[in-house]
Parts: sequence; structure tokens; C-alpha cells
Amino acid sequence: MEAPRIIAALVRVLRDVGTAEELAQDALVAALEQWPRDGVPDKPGAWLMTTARNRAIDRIRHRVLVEKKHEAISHDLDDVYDEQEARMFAALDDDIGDDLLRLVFTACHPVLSPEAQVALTLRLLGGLSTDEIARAFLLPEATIAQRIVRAKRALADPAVVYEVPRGEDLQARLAAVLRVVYLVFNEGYAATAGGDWMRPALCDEALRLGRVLAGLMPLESEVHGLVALMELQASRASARTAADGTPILLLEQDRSRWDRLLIQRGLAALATAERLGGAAGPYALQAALAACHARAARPEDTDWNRIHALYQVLLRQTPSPVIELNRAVALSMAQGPAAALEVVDRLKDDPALSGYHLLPSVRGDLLSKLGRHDEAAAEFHRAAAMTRNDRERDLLNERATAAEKLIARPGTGQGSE
Amino acid sequence: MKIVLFRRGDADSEAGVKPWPALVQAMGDHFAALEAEGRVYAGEGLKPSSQAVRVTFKDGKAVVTDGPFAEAREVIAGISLIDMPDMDTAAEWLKQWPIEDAHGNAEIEIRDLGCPGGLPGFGDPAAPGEGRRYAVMLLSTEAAEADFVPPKEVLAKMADANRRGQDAGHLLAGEGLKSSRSGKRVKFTGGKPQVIDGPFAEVKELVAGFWIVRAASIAGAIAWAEGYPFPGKEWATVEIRQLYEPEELFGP
Repeated sequence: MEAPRIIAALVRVLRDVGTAEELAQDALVAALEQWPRDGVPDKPGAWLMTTARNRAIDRIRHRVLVEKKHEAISHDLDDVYDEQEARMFAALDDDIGDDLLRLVFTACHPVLSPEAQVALTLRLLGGLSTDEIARAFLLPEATIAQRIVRAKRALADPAVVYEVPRGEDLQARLAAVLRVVYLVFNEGYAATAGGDWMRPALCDEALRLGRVLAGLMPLESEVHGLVALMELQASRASARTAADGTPILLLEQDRSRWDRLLIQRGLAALATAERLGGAAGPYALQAALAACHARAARPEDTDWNRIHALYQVLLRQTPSPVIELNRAVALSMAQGPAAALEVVDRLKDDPALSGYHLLPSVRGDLLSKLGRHDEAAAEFHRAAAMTRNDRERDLLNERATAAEKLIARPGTGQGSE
Repeated sequence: MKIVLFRRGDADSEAGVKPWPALVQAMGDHFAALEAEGRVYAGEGLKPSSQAVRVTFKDGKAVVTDGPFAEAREVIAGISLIDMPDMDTAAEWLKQWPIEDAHGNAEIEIRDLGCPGGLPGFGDPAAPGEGRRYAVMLLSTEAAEADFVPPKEVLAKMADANRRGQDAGHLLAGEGLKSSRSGKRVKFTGGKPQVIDGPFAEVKELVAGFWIVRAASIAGAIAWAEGYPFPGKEWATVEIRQLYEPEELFGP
């Protein structure tokens, strides 16, 4: 059988038996797919050898790119938020950047499934091993390995073109890239304290990728928007969880634990996004929302009017009952509970929110502020029954009880014994 | 039979020009059938002679000279080890050499392996390890071209040095060559090949044997050469050239 000879020839070039085996395997898979379609070549052995060898050379090229140039680029990017510098970068005949960009867009090629895009991005751009990726996503290593193999196979299709997309295509493809990066970030962000160290490290990896992307495409507003969003969210990492691991709500977090450097960088990135494109894209908008909180030294200092306005803009782009609910909360802080209650009442019967405990929770809060304690208590009970989180349930039950105590006092609901 | 293929230098190779993608592709295609049959043992590129040294041994002293040394075509730019039934078949195969190489003016020399003293060739130039790799080529002499057999003591010392070097890990491979009498050259001119039979008159262009060593720098390779019992060391010259690593040849 040809495989051992192909592997031996590849080892000479790759110096790595594992990779040689992998690429030899890929060549065989390619043969199984193409030969039934195109016919068996005159010299099948030579065909396999050529196919495997081409992949080996590509692998070497990528290896050199990722190892050598990548480090240089990401070091230079620490503060590419000056637009002058950004324009200079864009004007440079930078074929290093071009190759890396091509790599980025290849990893997020639309022919691949979103999971495959994530796995390939982490592998090609993050240099993470299959094992590390698997641990990060709490999946078996074999699953990730298969995803990457299938992704490579899909990319090996001659119909797949390797180049940086242009024009309209660029915007659509860029959206996929940003989605992948943000997915990686959220995977790490959602992982609370404890467990495998790999999961929080995903946030760092996503941040790094985002910054590299910002350096490669410095005139794209949404790239800076995503970087800003990630930096601002990451700035709260140390304040988000209590010692026992329970999550702490943003308005209750100890702001002295917020990372000032990340906030500064996030605000700078947001400013760049605004200068470049008005910061109207979804990532920039979410970053602007996060920035409102980041700028407030104390919860009382929060600019709720601005937050409300931002939600209105966001809703025009992505109408969603959950975002509408968030807008209502901002509205109540900015203009008082009555205006907000009108909004929430309109959401009451939205089927999308039927199992969403935050709806009755917010409604209960608003009713309570308006002195309608009997209705508030009913909403808190409803919310407590919906939530699966013990701590939340306890809190909601406490609020229900407190509201009921206030019903018992007739009249204005003030004063105590 | 195992033969060595020397791809002669040209202006590009001496200028350090790396093979461009189309050439890499064409070379890969040319060698593919052979590789699939397991008949390619080695394929290495040599860095320009401007980066090389020659060490001349005379009266027990070693004199080191920096390159470049000669006309581009007198320099060896690539070494391959392949299996061919005979020299004629090899020459026919060489006529299909990619014409992109050296822009249609490539020259390739094929020589029979076999130390006249009978010492076996050994090793794999691509064996993994730390540090850089160097080809140490023993330049030919009139005696070598006459297939002169070195005295038994010299052969014994060489065999011993070969074994010790391999055991220590810094000697990766070694091959002795028969004289150019059994060799051939395939010379392309404007893309058209011409086969020329050996022997070749310009002895100073010829190689009598080569070793592949690993060293941290060329100084290490020179030190190895100074210690090695080359046959006819009273008047021998070796040329030491660094080998390209795959990342350097194929990387961006």
C-alpha cells in the first residue's frame, strides 16, 4: 500500500510523523472522493504523492506564518487606535498581513459549519492543539479532531478559493469571522471560576485574535467594535463572581475590581469604531452599552438616558423582546417606573418570553416601585417558580415576601412597626 | 541501484532565490511517481556558495576560505538520492526534468554511489535533530577520478569515524562516489535536454564523496571536518554548505 511511502516522503519535508500521517490520510480521503467522480488517474501513486505533498507545503507555509509573523504583528498592535496610523497600515504593501488575512478568512470560510470554523480558527490562528480546543468546549477530543479533519477536507475542494474577499462579499465574510471570535470569547466568558484553566484562557485568545484582526483591517468599524465589546466585558471578569462562584449582577458589582486598563482600551477602541463608521453596527452598539456602565464610577452615576437611546438604536437593527425588556429597565432608571411598565405590559403576552423569568421579575420590580405591592408579590412568586437558579429563587422569594408585608399595611404602604 | 543527483547551480540559486510555487509544484510532480514507489531517499537544497566555506588541508594544516568560489554552474545547488535501474534510465527520466528550473537551462549530474574502498553509504540527511545541517563535500582529485582505493588504515579510520559520528548523532549521512566515468550530465539549453556521458574533464567541479552533519553553526561543521580522516587528506579540499530547511524553502 502506498501510505507508508507517502508518509515517509512527507516526514522528510515535515519532520513530524503525526502530521505526515494526517496529511497522507487526507490525500487518501481526497482520492476516495475525487476518483469516483473524475476517474482513477494513470499514476494513482503519483497523484496521492502530489496531493499529500501540496498539503505538506501549505502546512509548512502556514506554520511559518503563524509562528513567526504572527508574534511580530500582535506585538505591534497594542495600540493601533490612532486613525493616522491605521491609514498608514492600510496603505502599506503588507503581504504578511495579506497572507494572515487569507488564513483568517479561510478558517471562517462559509463552506464550513460554524463549529468547524471555530475549531479551525483556534487551531490555525490560535495554535491550540486538538486537546486544548476539546477541553475548552467540554467536548471529546475525537469530536474536535473529526471536525478539523472534515473542515480540511471541505477546504480541499478545488471550488474553494483562497483569497481575501472583496466588496459586499467582504462584509458578509467578515461578519462570520467576527461571529467566530465572539463565540470563542463567550465560551470563555461564560465559564465561571474553577474547572479547567483553558476556558477563561479562551477570552484572552479571542481578545488577541480580535486585536490582530483590528490591525489587519484597521478601517473596519465593526472589528474595533468587537474588540471594544470584548475588552469592556473582560474588564469586569474579576468582579463577576462571588467567592463561592455565584454570579453578581452588574449593578451590584464591586467596581474597584473592574480592570481600568481594559476599560481604557475598550473605550479607545470604541472611539475608533465611532470615528470610522459611526459605531452603528451591532458589536459597536453593544460595546457602547457596556461603555456606559464602564464610565460610571458608581451605579448611581450611570447615564441611563444614553443607555436607553442605545437600546432604541439596537432594537431598530435587531428587534427582540429580550432587548425590549432591557430597554424597559433602562427606561425605568431614566424616566421612572410608570413609563417602563407600559413597555413591559406590552411584552407580557409575547410567547417568546413565556419561560423567561426576568419578565415577571422586572414587572414585579416596577410594580413594587409604583406601590402596587399585591401585584408585585404575585409577579415575584411567578418569577421564582420559573428560575432554575437557587440563589435567584431565594432572592425573588425574599422580594415576594417583602412585597406581601407591604400589602398588609393598608393605605400608602409606608412606615413600619 | 542508488544514485546521487547533483543539481548544478545557476544565477538564481547562487543569489539565494527560493523555488517559486510553480517550480515547487513542477518538481513535486516530477518526483511524485518515484516517491510513491519509495525510490527517493533524500532531496536537499544547498544554500548559496557565498555563505559557504572551503577547508583546504595541506601539510597537516587546515586553511579556511570563504565563498563564493566559482562560476554558478560549477557549484552544486541540490543533492538528491534516488533509486534507478541504471544510468540510462536515469538519464531518460532526467530529460523530463521541469523546464521551469533554471529557466530552461538546468544542468543535472548523476553519479554512481560506491566508495572505491568499499565503505557503505549510510544514514538519512533529513534525520531530525537540533541545530543546522551542513553538507561537507570532498572535492575530487585526479586520483579519485582514477577510482584510487585508499589504504586499509585510512578506510578503517573512516569507518570508525562514521560509526562514532552516527552514534553521537551529529553525523546524519555519508556517501562515497565512484568516478565520473560512470556518470552522466543532462544539460538543458532553452528547455532542450542533452545527455553527456562522463568522464568529465574539469576535476575541480567534481565531488568524490559527501557527508551531512548537524552543527549549531558552520564553525561546528568546520571543526568536524578538521577532525575527520578524509582519504588523501594531505592535499584534500572540502566544501561546506548549509542545507535549506523545508520552512526556508517553502515558507512564505
